[in-house]
Amino acid sequence: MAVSTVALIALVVGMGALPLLTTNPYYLQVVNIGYLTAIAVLGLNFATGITGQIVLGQAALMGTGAYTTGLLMLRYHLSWAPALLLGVVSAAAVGMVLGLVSTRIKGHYLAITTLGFNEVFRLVVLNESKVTGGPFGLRDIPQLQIPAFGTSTAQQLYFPILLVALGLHGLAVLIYRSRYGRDMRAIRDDETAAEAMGVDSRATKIRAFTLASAMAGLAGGGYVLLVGFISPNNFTIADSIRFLVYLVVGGLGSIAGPFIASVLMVVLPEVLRGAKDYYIAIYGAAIIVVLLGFPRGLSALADRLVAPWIQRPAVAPPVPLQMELPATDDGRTS
Amino acid sequence: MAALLEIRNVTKRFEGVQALDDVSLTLVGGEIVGLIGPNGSGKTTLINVCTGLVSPDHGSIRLDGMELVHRAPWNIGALGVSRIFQNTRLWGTLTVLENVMVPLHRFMRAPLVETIAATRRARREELVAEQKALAALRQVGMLEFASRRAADLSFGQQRLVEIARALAAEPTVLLLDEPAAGLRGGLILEVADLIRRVRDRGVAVLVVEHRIKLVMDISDRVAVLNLGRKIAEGAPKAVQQDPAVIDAYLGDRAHFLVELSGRRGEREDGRP
Repeated sequence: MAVSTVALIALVVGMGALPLLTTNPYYLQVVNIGYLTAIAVLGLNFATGITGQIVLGQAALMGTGAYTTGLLMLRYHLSWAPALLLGVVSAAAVGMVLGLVSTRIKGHYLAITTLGFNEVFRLVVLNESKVTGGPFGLRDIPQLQIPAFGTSTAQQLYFPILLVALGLHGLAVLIYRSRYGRDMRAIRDDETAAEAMGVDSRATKIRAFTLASAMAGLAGGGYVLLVGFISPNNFTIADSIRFLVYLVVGGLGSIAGPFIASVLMVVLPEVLRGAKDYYIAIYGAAIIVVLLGFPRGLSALADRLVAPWIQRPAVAPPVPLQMELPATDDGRTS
Repeated sequence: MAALLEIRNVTKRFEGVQALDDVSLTLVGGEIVGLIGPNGSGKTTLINVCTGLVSPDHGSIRLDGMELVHRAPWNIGALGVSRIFQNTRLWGTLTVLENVMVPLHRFMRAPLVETIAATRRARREELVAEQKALAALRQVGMLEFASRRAADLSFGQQRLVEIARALAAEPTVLLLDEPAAGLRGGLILEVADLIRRVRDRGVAVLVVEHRIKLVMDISDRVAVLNLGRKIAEGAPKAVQQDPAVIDAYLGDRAHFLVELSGRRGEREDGRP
C-alpha cells in the first residue's frame, strides 16, 4: 500500500476516533465547526478555485441557509429535516442569481459585487428585526438531538457532520473529474477559448455558483442545528474573507487541501487561546509562512492524499496504439 | 451535403480602426481557402466574427443557411464551427487528453446527477469521448503526451494539441489562425498534410497564414485582405500576379501600410 493511502486512512481514522479520545463537548464543538466550515469552503472552491470566479459573499450564502433553517424551525415549527432542506434550496436559489450576475460582471468587479451582496445581507438581517431578531439574532432554535450518539449535542452530531463533510468532498472529486468539472476548469484557465470550443460558460457558471451556495446553505443550516443560535455577526464580510483565506491556504482547486486548512485554521485559534493576545500574531505568521513556503498552499501535501485530477489508470501512458478506435477518419459523428 | 459558410458584407469597427470593411467570402466543404494580408488587415477579426467572439456591426454569416451572427460562441461551436487560435490557447492546468475532450462535450447528454452516479450512459459517453480524443491526439502524433499537463508542453507541441482539439469535435468548418506558427520545418509539412486530409473528408477549411509559399501550396483558393477590405480572391496563381496584391502585400507600399495599420497590435509573428 502506498504511503499516501496509509496517510489518508490514518487521517480518516483519526477524525473518526476523536470522540473516543475526548468527550469534552468544547473540543468536539470546535472541530464540528471546523467540518462545517470545510463544507462552506468546499462550496467556495467550486466557484473560485475550480471555475475561477472570485466570490466574497460565501458567508452571506451560508447565512441565507442558516436564517432560512432557523426561521422555519422557530416561526413555523418545521422539523429539522425539511427546514434544513429548504435552507439549502434557498441558498442555492440566491446563488443561482449570483451565477447569472457573474456572466455579466467579471473578475474584480464580481468580487466587489459579491462583497456588496454580503453587506446587503448583513444590513437586512440587522434591520428587519421583527423577522430576524435583528442584532440579537435568533436564539433557542431547537438543536438536533440524537441521544444514541452521546450526551452533549457536540458529541451527538460529530459523526453525522463528519460523514456529510467527507461525503461532499468525495462528491466534489467526482464532479471535478467529470465533464462538468472539465468545463469549469476550462473556464478558469481560459474563458474565451472555452467558449470557442463549445463550453456554455453561462450554464457552467450558474452550475458552479449553485453548487457553491447549496454547500454554503448546508453549512449554515448545519450550524443552526449544532449551535441553536445565530446572529448577523456570524455571517459578515470578514467571514467571507476568512473562507477565502482558508481556500488559498489549502490550495485553490485542490479538494483535500482546503478541507485540512479549514479544520486546522478553525481549531488553531482555540489551541492558541492560552497565548492570549499573541495568538492572532502567531496565526497571521503561520498563514504567511504557509503561503511563502508553499505557494500552492497545503495542497502541495494534501494532494498526495486525494488528487482529484488523477484519473483512472486507463488514461495513463503508454496507450496501446493498436486499439480499436471509433470512426474519426471519415469525419462522422457516432 | 458539404458545409457552406457564407460571410456576407461583414463590417466591424474598433474605435477608429476599420477592422473589416464590407468583407464577403464563401467557404465550401472540401476546399481549403487561404487568407492572407499584411499585419492588422483583419484576418483574425474575421475568424473571431465567424466564431461569435466578436459580433459584426453589419453583415451576415450563414452556416448552411443558418444565421450565426448574435449566436453565443458555444452554440456556434456546437454547430460544427471549430478553430485554433493564433497564439495557442490550451487550458494549462488540464491534461492534454482533457483539453481534447472538452469540445466533445457537445455530444454528451448525461445530466450532472447521472454523471455523479456513473450510470451506464454517463460512463459510455465518457469512454467514447476519451477514445475519440485519443484518436485525435494520435492523428497529430501527440498520443504519448495524453496525461501531461498542457502547460508543460513546448509551444510547438501545444500547437499540435490545439489542432487535435479543433479536430476532435468533428467540425464541418475549420478556421485555422496561423496553424504553422512556431512549428519547425518538418512539422509544417506534416501539418499541411493533415489539413489536406481534413479537407478531403469534406470539411470547409480557412487557413490564415503568413508564409506565402505555404498558403499558395496548400490552398485551393486564396483571398487577400488589406486594411479590412478584400482586395483579391481567386486561384493561388492568379492572386499572386494580381497587381493590387503585389502593391499592398508584396510591394514597397506594403511597409508603409503595415506601419499605418499596425497600431492595433495584432500579433502576427509566430511567437517562440
